[in-house]
Amino acid sequence: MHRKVAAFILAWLLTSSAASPNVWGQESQPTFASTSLCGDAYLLALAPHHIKALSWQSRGPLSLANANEKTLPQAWDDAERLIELAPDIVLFGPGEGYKTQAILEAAGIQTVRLEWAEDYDDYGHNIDLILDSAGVEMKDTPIGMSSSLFTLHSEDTPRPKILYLSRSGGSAGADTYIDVLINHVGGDNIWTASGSNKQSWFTPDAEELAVIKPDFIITSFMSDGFESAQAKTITGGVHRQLLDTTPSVDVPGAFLSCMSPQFTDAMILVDEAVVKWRAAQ
Amino acid sequence: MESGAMKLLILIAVTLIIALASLFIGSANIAPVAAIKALFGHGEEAHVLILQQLRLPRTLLGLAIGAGLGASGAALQGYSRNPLADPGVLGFSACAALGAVAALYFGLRAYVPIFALIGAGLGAGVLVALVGQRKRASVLILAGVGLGALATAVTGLIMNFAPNPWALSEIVYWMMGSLREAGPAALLYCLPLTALGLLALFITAPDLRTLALGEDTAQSLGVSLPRLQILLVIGVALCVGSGVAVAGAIGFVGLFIPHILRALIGPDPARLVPYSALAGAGFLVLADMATRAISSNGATLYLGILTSLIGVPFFLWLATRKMSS
Amino acid sequence: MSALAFTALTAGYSGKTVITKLDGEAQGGEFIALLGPNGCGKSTLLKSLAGILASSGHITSNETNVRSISAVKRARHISYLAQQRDMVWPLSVRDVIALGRAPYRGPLGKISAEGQAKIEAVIHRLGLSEFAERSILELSGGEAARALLARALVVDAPLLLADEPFASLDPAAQIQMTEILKAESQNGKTVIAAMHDLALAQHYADQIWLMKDGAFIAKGSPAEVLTDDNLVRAFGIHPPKGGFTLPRIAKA
Repeated sequence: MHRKVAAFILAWLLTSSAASPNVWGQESQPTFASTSLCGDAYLLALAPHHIKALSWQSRGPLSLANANEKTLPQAWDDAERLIELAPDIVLFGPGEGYKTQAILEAAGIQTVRLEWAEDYDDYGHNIDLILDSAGVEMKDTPIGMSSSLFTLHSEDTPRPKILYLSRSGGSAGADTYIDVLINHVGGDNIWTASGSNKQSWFTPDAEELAVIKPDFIITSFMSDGFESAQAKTITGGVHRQLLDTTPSVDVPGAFLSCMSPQFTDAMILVDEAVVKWRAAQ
Repeated sequence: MESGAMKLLILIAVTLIIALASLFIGSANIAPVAAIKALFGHGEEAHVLILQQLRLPRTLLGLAIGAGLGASGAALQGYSRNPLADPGVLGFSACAALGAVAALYFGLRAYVPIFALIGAGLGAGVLVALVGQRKRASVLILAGVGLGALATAVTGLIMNFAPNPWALSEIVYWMMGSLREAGPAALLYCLPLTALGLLALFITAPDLRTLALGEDTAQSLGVSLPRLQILLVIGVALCVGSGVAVAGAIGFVGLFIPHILRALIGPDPARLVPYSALAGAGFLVLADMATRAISSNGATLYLGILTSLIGVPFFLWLATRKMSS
Repeated sequence: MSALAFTALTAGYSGKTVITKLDGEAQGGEFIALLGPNGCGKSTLLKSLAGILASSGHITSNETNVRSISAVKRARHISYLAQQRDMVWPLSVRDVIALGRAPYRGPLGKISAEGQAKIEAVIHRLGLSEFAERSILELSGGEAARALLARALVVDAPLLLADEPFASLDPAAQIQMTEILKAESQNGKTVIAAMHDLALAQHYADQIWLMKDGAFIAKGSPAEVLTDDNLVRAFGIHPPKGGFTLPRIAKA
């Protein structure tokens, strides 16, 4: 458990430092190519100087790349493209690369595939996958745990019932990283609190939203992503009503597109907002 | 009371009953009496919200869009003298969807209805001008199917340029249609635009009757073909454009509603336009109720899927019947 | 004052001119047969006169310039019976005939009592009473042709232009229909009918207009027009000795 949390903190430290030092010495070997937004997030946090190519979404609104990083070439799950880019390691996103894996390995390129993570264990496993592929041992790196990063919650602290709502009206129940986030900031996921026991990611029917009464709402993907006809939070009567009458915080979609190192940024953002909410009670 | 007026009254009554029943269906269990009270603002706050913000707009929009599709189908069939004509079959719905998606791509969310109208109008204008009645009936249908396929392809192309993991579900929504996204704001533009479109189509109705004799004879009887074409295109563009802007492409309603009514009230092309509007309204709300009842555990049944499931076998039956006669 | 007069009438389709500078005159009560080989411009002429096809030249009826009046007024004045007679909708015969009253319809599409009376009269006159409620799609070729003629007659226009009204009719039906047209002309209507049957033309027409390649090659009485020279020139046939004979309808 400690190893996992440590990996988490380490990743966050790396992200937040302005000029990240090379983790593995002066040379920037091995080089990575990422084919997914999720992979981009991991690489930008863990190994920004080892990136040969970012994914085809690197220049989109959900990308965490800075101006320089956006000029890097783009990669996608296509054998010819990846061979042409000639990285040492290809980092596939969840569900990618099954067909191209064999060809790449025949061409001498190592492949690693992220898994879709919904909790710390899965997340830590992803970190391991990346570091192992680069041949780096966790115990070589300094570890520091800072408990002041997150507010401590005691038994008496009021636990807000929190709803997660994306732009298209999607939400998250138990067994999702949103659920992890909500619990971590000392709240209860409204879908488990209200007894409806919803699991995983789903789009609640508008009538379901009309009857729940969350104390707090986490929104995401509100102004990034693309214009859609299915943006219920813009046009829907019930959704708008909820957002207008409930305190909320908006988290940039880039932090929540998967459970990536930037998840911590999301947690801190929400934590601050919930603290304010508690103060106002 | 003569049988014609009786049939009209029955049709109106059935449509009203369907509309009322639609207010009672939804994933929240609300007793009918409580639902009626909530409609007028009394009772639990959540119930009032559901009735006023969700079920009522959805029902009204279903009525409007269904009326527009029904009337458009009847008018197009009357104009082309072809019982296979329908705004979906002829590609106008896909053209409207293309317009709407283009507006979204350029970030002009507020202009979605206008672009949808323009899309439907351009599609209708091109087809009506090119084909009309001069060629064999099958040519009109083929041209329409081609137009729809082209519009769908270009829509997919636009989606391609807006890379987003959710683009696929976006295409599905536009191509298959759903009243799920219909919010109360849509009422503001959909109802007036559909009303205007229906008016234009009602005006064309008597000329459509005369057109039963053929274009030449109708002209000799004083029908102005250019005027008829313009009114038809405007009417169809307004009805289909506003409908698609709200609910995506819903097909085949304009195909089988007039057909069913022909069996009930006779083949007079003029009467079929307003009757198809009424029956289309009732039918679409009924179909939407079915999708709501079936979709209760999170998986959406798209309204367009349901109308296609009903409409495509019907279309094939009608087409083969026509071809063998 | 002629019922119909046209000068320098020129018309065609999509760039191709079919008839060039035609002149003609018809009096009230005349039955004129319009003859000529396929493609000579008979349909084009009739459509131009009916106002369906754009044309240049002058067309007057009873001194009124036909081009200057509204489409509805012109519709009340000139009735047109098309060559294409395919109907798609299973309308009743009565409803089809009622379509002929379209130029007289009120704003809500209602037909006046006078109009209804005329519809009944023409149904009776053309022997369609037993078919009146049946779908026009169910009728035989001859019956349907009569129904569509009734539609053209109920317009009650002083001028009737008929484009090959006898096409695909059996001999008896052809004679019956020509007799109807003749009777109408004798009642004062001016009838111009394009046809192929030379015997019918010879026996019933007051005047024959013979066309070829978009121009008139002869106009006049049947005797004057149906000469050997003219028929050879127009159709490449010699008339039979003694003229064209008509069968007689057997008494039932």
